[in-house]
Amino acid sequence: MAASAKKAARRALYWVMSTLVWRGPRPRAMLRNGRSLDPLFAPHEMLYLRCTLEGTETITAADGTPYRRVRPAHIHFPDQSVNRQKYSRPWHVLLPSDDERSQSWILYGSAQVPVSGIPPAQQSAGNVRFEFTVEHDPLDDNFGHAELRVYKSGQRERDKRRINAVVKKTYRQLLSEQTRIALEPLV
Amino acid sequence: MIIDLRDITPWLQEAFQVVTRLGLLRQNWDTYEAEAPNETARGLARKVLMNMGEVELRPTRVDASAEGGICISFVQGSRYADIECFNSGEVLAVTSSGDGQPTVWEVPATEFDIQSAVAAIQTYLNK
Repeated sequence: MAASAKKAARRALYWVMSTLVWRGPRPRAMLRNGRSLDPLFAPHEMLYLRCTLEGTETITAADGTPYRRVRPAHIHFPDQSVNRQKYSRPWHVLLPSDDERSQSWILYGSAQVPVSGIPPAQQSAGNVRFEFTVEHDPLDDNFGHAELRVYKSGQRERDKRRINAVVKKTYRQLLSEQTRIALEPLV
Repeated sequence: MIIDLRDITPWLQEAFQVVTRLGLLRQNWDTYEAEAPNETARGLARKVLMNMGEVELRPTRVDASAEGGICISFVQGSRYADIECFNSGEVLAVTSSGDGQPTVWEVPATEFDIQSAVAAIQTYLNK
């Protein structure tokens, strides 16, 4: 199918679902509806994030198999938003929210990374320990929302300027290598 | 830096034009609040590209970095390498064959260190 036809089909599907089925921008199953935070993640649980055509590349794995991944340069650090497989489908990260900027997301793609693919802890040259984790961060209109976070010497660090540059780049490279495309990006 | 585009090879001309176009990106270009590349990152990227041009090391891609800056990357089979030039003025390089042990290093923004990083990437890709 041509790219323009795929875009039209995805837009049409979204229109049908949001107008006739969900009667809103997102399915009811995505809403929090008073549910409590769930801190438990299985190692095989997938985490989903949006990606673009430009932000993905095909590369050969160490075992010789080609695969498509999110490019290292397109990985954020820290506090990358993701959606949990336990409460989401890969396409949930493409659904617009109240924010007008999200209206174009429907044509993006969705990449996945297993919880076990989160890079292991690193020690910087100055002997500072950095640990990486995923934490459930439910939103009212997206219960499955979670964040990939970093802890520096046991304290959560939100300021990327306070994270060793080599640690940061190593993390982004390793995470990229664990990503795979779950839903094809159309833009 | 003033560069006469007529004096350089077509792929390098194209890469310079990409760097210029990246300056037009808006903030939040990736929907995850990414900063657009600033003039510092663009200037460093041109410097790195000039060095690549001198040894005819043609990148696979030149584009924006989600961490604010420009990434010049290479993909050759299972081998990946890049040099990222950040808005902060930092430059970092990586080589990785996807085996979980990437080599990452900081590149001081001097002519000598950039040349050395480009040479290291070239050696890695030609192994």
